[in-house]
Amino acid sequence: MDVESLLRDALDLKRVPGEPDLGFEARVIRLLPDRPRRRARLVPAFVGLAAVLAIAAVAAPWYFGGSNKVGPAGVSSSPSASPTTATPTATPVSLAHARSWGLTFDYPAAWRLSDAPPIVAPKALQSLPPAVQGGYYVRRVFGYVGTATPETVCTDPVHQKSGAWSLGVCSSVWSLGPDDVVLRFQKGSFTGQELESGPIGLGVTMTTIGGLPALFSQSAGSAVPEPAIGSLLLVASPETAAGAETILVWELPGNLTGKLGTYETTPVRIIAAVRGPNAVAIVAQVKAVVASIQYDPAVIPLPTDPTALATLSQSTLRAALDDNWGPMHPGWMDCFPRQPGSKTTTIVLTPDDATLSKPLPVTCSVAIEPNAMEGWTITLTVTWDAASDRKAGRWSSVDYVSSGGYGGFGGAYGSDVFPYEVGSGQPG
Amino acid sequence: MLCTVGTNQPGRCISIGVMENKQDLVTAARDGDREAFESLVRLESRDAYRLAFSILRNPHDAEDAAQEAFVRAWRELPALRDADRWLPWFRRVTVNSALELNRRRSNGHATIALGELEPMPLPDETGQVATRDQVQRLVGCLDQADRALLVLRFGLDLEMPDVAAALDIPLGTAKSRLHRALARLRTQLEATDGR
Repeated sequence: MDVESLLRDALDLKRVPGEPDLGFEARVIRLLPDRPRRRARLVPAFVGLAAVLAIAAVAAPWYFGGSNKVGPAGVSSSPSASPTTATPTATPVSLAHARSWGLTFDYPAAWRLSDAPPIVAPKALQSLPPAVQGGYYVRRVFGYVGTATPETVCTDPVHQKSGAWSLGVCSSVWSLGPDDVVLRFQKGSFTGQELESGPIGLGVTMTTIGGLPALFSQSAGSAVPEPAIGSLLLVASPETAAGAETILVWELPGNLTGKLGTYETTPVRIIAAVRGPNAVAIVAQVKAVVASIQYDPAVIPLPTDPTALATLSQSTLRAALDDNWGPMHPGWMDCFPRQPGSKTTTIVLTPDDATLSKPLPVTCSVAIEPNAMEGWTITLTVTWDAASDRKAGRWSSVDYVSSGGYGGFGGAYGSDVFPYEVGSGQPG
Repeated sequence: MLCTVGTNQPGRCISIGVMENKQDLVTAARDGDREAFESLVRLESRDAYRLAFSILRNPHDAEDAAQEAFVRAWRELPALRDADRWLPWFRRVTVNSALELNRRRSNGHATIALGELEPMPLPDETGQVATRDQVQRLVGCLDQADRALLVLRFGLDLEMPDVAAALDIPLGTAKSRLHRALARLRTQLEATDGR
């Protein structure tokens, strides 16, 4: 009996189940004590051939034939890279790894990453805390990645005679030279629910980024498209990326797994502006950057096992009704059963906590099902029958939540007005 | 200067230069570059956890041990003269953290009873599951020092001098302990096969 072979098989660390939890690295980093810096060291720009084997999980775009500023000769190890084989004539591109704006991604190390600069408020606002100052501006840009960094300019908020303030607006001043590329990361416009249910405009395609659906479009010229309000059609906006020949746009939904109120759950829009003459190769690199994007924290896929899925749907439904929405809508959530199905009851409140002038007999129904955002779609429905003093009607709300039951509650488009609601205009 | 690692904090871009490989990160971290060490934490956290888990067989203890290993490594890194030796050095720190953690939590009882071991999920379609499970359980019955030795030798495939260095014991001691552990396992496997 070959005990050593058995041990190699049994003790292979790849077989160790699980891995540290998502917050492990952040916890470790917080615990590191202060230590004096000894001296600055210059890091050599390039290292030996061995590191070639450690780069380029998405190999081809990271290899660039020319010797321009987009694809310098050189190699690096990227934390998320995996071994690959270079073509004999291609030059590998150094990769850097970013963890910014609720995302992680790899990008050519010759590019720069920078956060949007802090706002310099006018004197009248400078006595206010920075966070409050920020509230006087419309600011959507998180930061930039590329060979150039657009300048960010903001108009000043104006104190009106009425006493109100008109908000300052921040925008990018693009200026691309030959073979320049800029990716602007900014607040997006569409949640996962809107991405899934909304119409997709001409020239816009559905894709997958970081495990979640996303939208993509590519256009020639320098006009920076803007999503139209209320639809997913992209239309030209007044903004232009001076010098750009190609504009690529991705719309990423917010990550349901993330922490509410942070970058982690905020939809992200990525606008990439590219200028030639090597535009084709640069566009390939831009696409590789976007293809490497993962959400941070990473999207947690729903279980594939039907039993586990059913269990999770139960706990999610309870968490949403009891812990998330219940405290904000006391009384209203009592209408709904804690398991998929229906119950008949009587309500005296609307979802907006308006009082009914008399009790209304209703049937309250709940449904929950997994969705493409690796989360859950909860549908709450209330129906009531016609009577001598009311018409039959229906109220419904469809909401996306994470597996912890977190997510918005509200969209009840097309629902009927509740009878007996004070001020509803219906007899009551 | 380039940003190699981003941050979620607006207005703060990390500019630590291009860290071309792990050795550069180690060198920079040894010199006090905290952000370089943070990159090392991200690179090594999974392996450190797995190594600790292999010895402790408990996910919470493995996280605690790996966490302690990183903090200790950050503190003691200035003493590492050769950045090339980072991996065996850090493994030794991780193994020692795991063994010390177990000593603290078990009040000196350095072994784990068979019944305390959680079965490891082993997706495998080759028919070797039963044997592998059996070997893992038998390894789990060894004391932690011997288990650490076997994990280093066969799990990480280290040569015996590196195993000895990682455990901070003489090479001869490591070899004789390995010999004894293998003989014991062989006997137990043959006995269970013959049942």
